[in-house]
Amino acid sequence: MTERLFYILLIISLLSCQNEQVDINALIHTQHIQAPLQLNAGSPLLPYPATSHSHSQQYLLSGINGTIELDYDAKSESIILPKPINEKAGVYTLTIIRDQRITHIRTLEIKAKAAQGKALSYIGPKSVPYNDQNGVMVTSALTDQYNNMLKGQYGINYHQLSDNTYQINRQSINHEYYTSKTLYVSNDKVALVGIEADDSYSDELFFEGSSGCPVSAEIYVEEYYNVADGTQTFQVHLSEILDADDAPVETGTYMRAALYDAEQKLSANYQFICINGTAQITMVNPNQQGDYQVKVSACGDELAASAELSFEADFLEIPKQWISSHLLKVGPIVSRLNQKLQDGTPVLLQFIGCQADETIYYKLDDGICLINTDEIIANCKTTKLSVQIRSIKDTISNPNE
Amino acid sequence: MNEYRSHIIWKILLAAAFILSLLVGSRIYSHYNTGADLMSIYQSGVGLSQRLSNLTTWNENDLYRSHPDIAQAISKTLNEAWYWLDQSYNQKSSIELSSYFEKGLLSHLDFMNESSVGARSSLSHQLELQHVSLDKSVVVVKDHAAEIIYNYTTNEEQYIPSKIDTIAYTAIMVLINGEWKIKNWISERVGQIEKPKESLSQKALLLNKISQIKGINYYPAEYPWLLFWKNFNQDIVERDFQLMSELGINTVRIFLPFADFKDGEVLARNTANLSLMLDLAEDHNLSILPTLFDLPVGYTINIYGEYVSQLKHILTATAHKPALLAWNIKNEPDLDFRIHGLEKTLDWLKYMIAKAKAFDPEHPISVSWSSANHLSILSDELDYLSFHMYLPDENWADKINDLRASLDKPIVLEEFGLSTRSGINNVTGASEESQHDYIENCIMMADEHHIPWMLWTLHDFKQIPDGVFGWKPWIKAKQKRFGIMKADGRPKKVYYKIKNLTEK
Repeated sequence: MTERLFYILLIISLLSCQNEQVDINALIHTQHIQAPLQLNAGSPLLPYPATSHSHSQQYLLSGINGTIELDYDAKSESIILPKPINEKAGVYTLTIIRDQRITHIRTLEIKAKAAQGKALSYIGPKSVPYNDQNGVMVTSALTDQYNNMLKGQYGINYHQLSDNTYQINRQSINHEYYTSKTLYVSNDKVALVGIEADDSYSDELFFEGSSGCPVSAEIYVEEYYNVADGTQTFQVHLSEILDADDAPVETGTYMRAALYDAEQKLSANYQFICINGTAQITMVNPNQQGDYQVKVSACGDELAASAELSFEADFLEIPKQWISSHLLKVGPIVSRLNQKLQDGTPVLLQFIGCQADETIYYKLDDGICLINTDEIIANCKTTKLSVQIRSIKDTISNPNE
Repeated sequence: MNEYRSHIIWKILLAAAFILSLLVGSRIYSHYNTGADLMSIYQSGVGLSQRLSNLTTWNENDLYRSHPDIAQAISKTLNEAWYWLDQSYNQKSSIELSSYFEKGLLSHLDFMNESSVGARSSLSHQLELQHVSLDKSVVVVKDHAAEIIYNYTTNEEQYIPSKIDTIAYTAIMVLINGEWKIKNWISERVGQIEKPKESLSQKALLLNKISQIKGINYYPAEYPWLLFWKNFNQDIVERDFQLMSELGINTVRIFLPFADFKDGEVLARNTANLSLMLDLAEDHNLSILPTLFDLPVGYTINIYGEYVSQLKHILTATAHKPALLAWNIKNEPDLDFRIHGLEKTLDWLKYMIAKAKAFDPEHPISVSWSSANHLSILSDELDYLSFHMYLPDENWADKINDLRASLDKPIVLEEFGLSTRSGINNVTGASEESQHDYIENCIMMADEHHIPWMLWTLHDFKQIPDGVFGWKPWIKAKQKRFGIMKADGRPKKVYYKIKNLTEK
């Protein structure tokens, strides 16, 4: 008997696993889409008649920022909108759930209040060049006291101080949430812009204009050591650095100074900053003798101002000596100031008459350079050699000849 | 006697415990094989940008064309902002939001997310660049239709259907330290959104073609199910298409597992192979009926975005192919009712059907039910109806006739067949003779009642991959033998019969 019961139970449990039916009718649920509800921002109560309310009813309000469950206040017959929600304008969906079924979906629109707060203002660059043709674009969005952006027919006045007078530029927010206005800064040091939205004062922007690009300057080179030693320095002074309006360029403006040789080949390049319309640049003497020119530029354009300089050779001859038939000693090279030339100064050994002329680079060490010519001469079979240090070049006879 | 009773009671308890453990085990197994793992993949951020960008459409106005770099940058910021906003909402905490929102908005978002209810996921955006300041540090962008799906179910036993809100919003974004941030935004009612128009004439042509299907469900003998796309072989597909063509088959049903059409390189490769397959089918005068989202996927709100992204990618990449006949959104989703719940499954299906129609307004859309008993579900939403039949039912064709009349939609017998496998628990099995008779009978009945049919399947399979039919060897063995040809390519008896029947 008990055994039979066991098998009956077993069969029942197995059958119960197999016969779980799906209720297709469970799909049906009711939704009522009705006209949108409207409230002004800051209104804490959404009227909702008690006759439509039940204790098992859940009120969910969803918008782009999220979803929150709302309470019902029977006394005021309203759904309570907590402060952060009722202050945030926008379109929400109110979903009413009863007994785990969505029974109503309503659109709730919380409207922004009148613009009485300040406008959101965005300024691109904090400073713009005087009379710059691009100007500066101010993008503004009107907001209410809760920081809700407003849309509609608003007139925006931009009051700009220029040459001690106000200029008024008017711009409309035409069914959009924002307006933008390009403002041009005159030749004043400071530009003050007031933004006014119809009757409500909004915001005041205060930004500095900057000078335009430097276009002229006075140039002066201090007395300098005119030897092309590559180590001594000389001072270049710029004064009266002015923009196109003859206004001194402001501190912090970047410029460039370059040293060119007689063939207008760039020898050195420097970047410097103007201070109070002046600048001082320390430049290093070139290491090749000859005539030079200092030129200055800004914003990609060269200024007319330039200075001429001239440098003589640092030493007059290259001492050289064959230590053996294969080993050439160059130096010691001593400058006009009776100092050994800087370690690492390039020494160029040139071969003439090989299949292709060839140059091998060596470096001075303690004023001298030892060159093993064995392999070179064996490979090249040349008899013509020369040594060059800076601009001084000298030929060498082959001891094996 | 008492000892005997106690012995019996113990037996009952042990048997009950065994049954219970099987039930629990199968639930756990189902859970972990129906999408739970996908969530972790999604959250790992793999290919996140690619998936999110698929959800965004731009109005390519003059500003957009003048500032493509800015559009791209703010698109990335907005997409990621929405993604993390959803994540914050679903986890009831603010995470990562300060990278995307300015302080003024952040405090409000914090309040909302900490009090959030249920789950949500943003699904698509239609963006328009409205303003770019001269110095390119301020933009105004409008999203004409941000689609957000909500689900407020807190108790899985009592599912609350999901709802979709479509809202518009305008956002002012500012460039701060090289990063775009949302300074302020405001939502508003959605204006008129132009919906893609259904191409009814094209659909009518294709539905007429569907009513004449003599088709087959296809995997190659070598690489069925999960192995197919990983080992896609053009030569094998061409060989099999040639066989089908010779057999008089006009339509091939194929399967696109969700996992094989995810993002990155895999998606690109398999989309290219799908395109190639459609071209090969065209060469052989065959139509292709792809089944999307194959194998378990799960229907949680959090991963809807990923589904939409995949759907959009596949449909827009291949809808122009002449061999494409229709889209099947999901294979046998009615089997998921018990695992995931009826309403959750249907919510998902309804949404994906609507989206598929939007992404490809020309091709008919269907879902295949495992049983004809479910044909009325979603029949209004579907362009034609499909069912599978593996149990003997002498009156099936009459039932389909009745349903066809009442539902007023074409109905396709999309899968039927008989395995020729015999084994321990199926000593006699089905012989090739039985298979022949069964299939002949089904096809003749279908033809007589003008019911389009698709046979399961062309080949016996050399292997059945793990993860499709579970661990049970007898099920796997049975699934191997549904072919009308043996795995080595030799035809079974029914093969010749099908050739005769299709030639009629």
